[in-house]
Amino acid sequence: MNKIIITFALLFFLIPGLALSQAPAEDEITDSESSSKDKIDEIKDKVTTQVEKLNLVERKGLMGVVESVNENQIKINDLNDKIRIIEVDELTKYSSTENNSFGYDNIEPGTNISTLGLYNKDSEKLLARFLNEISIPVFLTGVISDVNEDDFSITLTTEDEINYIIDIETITKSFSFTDEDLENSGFSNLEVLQNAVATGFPDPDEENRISANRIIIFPDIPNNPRINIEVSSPTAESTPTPTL
Amino acid sequence: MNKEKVLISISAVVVGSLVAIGALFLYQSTKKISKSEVKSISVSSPTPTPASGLFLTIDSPIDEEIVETRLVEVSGQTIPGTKLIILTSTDEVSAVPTDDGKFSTEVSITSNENIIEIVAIAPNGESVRARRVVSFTTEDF
Repeated sequence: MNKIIITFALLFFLIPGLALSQAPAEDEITDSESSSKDKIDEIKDKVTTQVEKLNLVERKGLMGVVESVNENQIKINDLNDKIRIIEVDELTKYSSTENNSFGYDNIEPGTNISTLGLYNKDSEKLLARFLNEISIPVFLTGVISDVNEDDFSITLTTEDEINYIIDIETITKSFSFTDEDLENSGFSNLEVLQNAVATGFPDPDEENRISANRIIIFPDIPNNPRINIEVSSPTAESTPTPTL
Repeated sequence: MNKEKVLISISAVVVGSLVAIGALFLYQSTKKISKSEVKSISVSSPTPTPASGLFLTIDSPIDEEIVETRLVEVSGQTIPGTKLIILTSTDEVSAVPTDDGKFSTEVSITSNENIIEIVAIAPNGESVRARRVVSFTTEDF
């Protein structure tokens, strides 16, 4: 009978013990897991730091109009009307097509500049390596609201309801966008209510007057419905209803 | 006597198994999974379809990018049927998008800074434009 009791006791304790022995001790798991996690986290931190260092600075080129100049720091208003900060140092090289001796002292509010340098994503400043004085060209898109044959100019009305006088010069290249290609065109092909794209440089003496170096018209496309133009004396037979 | 032994052995095995199962159940229920071990699965929503109307997105070039070649790829998407003009200070390129609105072409630039103006004019006359400043240099800095 004693043997039976001993057998029973052995089975009673051994079977659960064997079952539980299949699972590793929780403490062991916690210790080994935590040490390997610490190592992984440490490696991750190192990699992240290096990646951040590598990506923090990138080469960029900015363009805009100088707003202010102060102690080797130039603030410009870029083409998206955003203020950008440019820093210059002894390595910055200056150039200008108009002024051979152009340098830091020549930079003043209103100067158009472009600069190439190292942009710091963190400080959002650009350390200029090359800084050039430039003329910023004008790109206009709108509808021709007047054609002045006397002085070879047109009036281009844009979506923001500004009328620009575009002088068509002898150097102005004219194109007509028909089908899928650009074809050479001329002043005689410019008509009121045509969509047009013009590029050029502003007239320093008159606001909203542009000396065009290119003009492209789109004769197959109706005029932009978002631009309202009142035509007082339609000249072309194909001109649609005057008031739009 | 043998019958008694067998019965006791069977009952011992049954009781032992029950205890083992109970112990395992307790072990599993007390086991906690740390947050770092939990894998999160996120399902991204599909790319929204552009709203009706004229739009112009430019994939290339990136604004304020510095390039080392004078030919720059201009690619993006607009609505089909649109006429595209890509302008730089020295070059003008026309393009029309494919049936899905995508377009890709090349335009030449000059040294230093360049403005690339992309104008899209829809068949109804509406226009939209995008601008990129791209600079060309081979200088190492």
